[in-house]
Order: sequence, then C-alpha cells, then structure tokens
Amino acid sequence: MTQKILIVDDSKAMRLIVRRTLRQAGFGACEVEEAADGVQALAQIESFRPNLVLSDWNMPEMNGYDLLQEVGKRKLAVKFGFVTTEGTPEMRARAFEAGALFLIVKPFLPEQFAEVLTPLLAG
Amino acid sequence: MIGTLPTPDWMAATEHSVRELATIALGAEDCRIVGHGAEVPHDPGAYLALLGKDTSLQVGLMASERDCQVLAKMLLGMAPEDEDLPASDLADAMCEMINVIAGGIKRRVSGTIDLNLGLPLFVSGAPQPGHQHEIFTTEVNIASASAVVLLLSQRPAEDGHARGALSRSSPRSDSLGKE
Repeated sequence: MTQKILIVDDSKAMRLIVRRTLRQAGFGACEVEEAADGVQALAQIESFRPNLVLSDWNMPEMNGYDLLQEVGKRKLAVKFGFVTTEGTPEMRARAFEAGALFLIVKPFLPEQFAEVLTPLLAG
Repeated sequence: MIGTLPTPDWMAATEHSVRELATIALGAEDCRIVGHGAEVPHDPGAYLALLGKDTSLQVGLMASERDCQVLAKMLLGMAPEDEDLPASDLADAMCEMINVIAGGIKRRVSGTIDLNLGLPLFVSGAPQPGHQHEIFTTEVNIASASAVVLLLSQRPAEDGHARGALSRSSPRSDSLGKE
C-alpha cells in the first residue's frame, strides 16, 4: 500500500527541499501533499489521511506545535514529526511530550531522513 | 556583550551556523569567512528576530540581487545558469536561509540564553539602525556568492537591560519589501 506523507511548512522552498530529500532518502514512491500552515494541514489530514506528517515548527496562522496538539485533541490517527530549525533540548522535550515521534533539525541530509523515517514507513 | 553573552561567542555561533547552512543546505564546497566589521551594504536581505528575556536582536543575511539568486538556486538544487527565480521565490528562499542561520545560533547559545525565534522577513533595502543599535557584521563567501551576515542588537540601557525590544518580525514576505 502506498504510504502518504503531508509536508507542512510555510516556505515553498523548504517544502520543495523536503520533497527532494524524501526522494533521495528512498521514499520516492510515497504519495506526498503539502500544506503552508497548521490550519491548512488540519484540513488536509482529515481529507488526505496521511500516514505521516512532517511539520515545521514556526509558521503563521497555526504553528507546528499547536497543530500537533490539535491532532491529539481530535484523536487523528497519524504519525507526526518535526522538521524544523528548533533543535534545543527544551524544544525537543516539548515536542516529544506533545506526542511527536521525532525532530529533524534543519539543515538536514537524506541519510537522516532515511534513518528516522524508514522504521515509521515500513510496511 | 549582547545580553549576557560575550560578543565573540555570538560571532562564533553565527559563523558555525553559516558554515552549516553553506555545507549542508546549499551543498557548497567552498565557504570562507572573509572578514568582520564591514559597513552594512545597501543590499536586499532576509531578517529574523531572536527574542529573549533580556536580549533582543535581529539576524540578517544580505547579498546583492545577483548573489541572492546564486544562493537561492543553490538552496533549491538549481544550476547557476537556470532561469532566475521570481521575486517571491527569491524572498522565500532567502527567508529559509536566515531561518536556518538563526535556528543554528539559537541552538548554539541555548545553554546560556533562552531565545524565541520570530518569523523571517525579506527586505529590499538596507536597515537604517539608530544610535541605540549595535551592528556586528560577518562577511562570507559561499561558492561564487558574497554575503554579509548581520547581528543587530539593542544597546543596553543604563540599568543593563535592552529597552523597547526590536519589533517582532512579520511573517515572510511573498514579494520584495520596500525600503
């Protein structure tokens, strides 16, 4: 079954880079959609039903942390991780406490995507 | 000093973050810090606020329009000879680069100062700092592009605290801003 991934980032450039990195990391067969902020992402999680959300943290309208909390409140069954410049121990702790499965710090390499995402998208 | 951290520590954090951007995000084999303290150029640039309890500063990445194109194409994996990016995409790419630099700085000073990242903003002209601001510049060559990384901080007031924190940055621009 094709795995579905939702990329959430307010930067068009970063969404393109994440898409490219997914391909380079071996996830080219996944179906990928994009959202520019947390509000758009929530709607797309409901309609697109992704297996995995890769979300930036700092975004206008609704940031990634608030998105994750909303996903939890609505009990949406989706794996969620951050791809963000927020890499301090405090921010990592906040992310994991809120239910994130991983936090990849920008800038990143395809090898990091492969290592982190392979176990989550296997099968 | 900027906040409670000596200025050289900020500069070191800035340099490491720029090198990280250049080598990992831009794939540049050549990234050289070529100097400090140059005058602020009249170039477009992307800015992002770092805000803490007693510290507020803006981090900027400035380059000529040609070199902004060079850097943005590198970020997007494009060839130098590819058609130039439209203004909105150029602004977006520059904003993402300053986002990476500012995030790197935040991470590197996090043991000493807690900072919040603002949202990036692209501006077409040079900043016009007042006497209450201090500016620290780092000149860097990344591949064929020359850029200036700028730290713009509030001078401490007599009580040792920065006053009137720099305005929180606005969401990234989808078009070139006005000077």
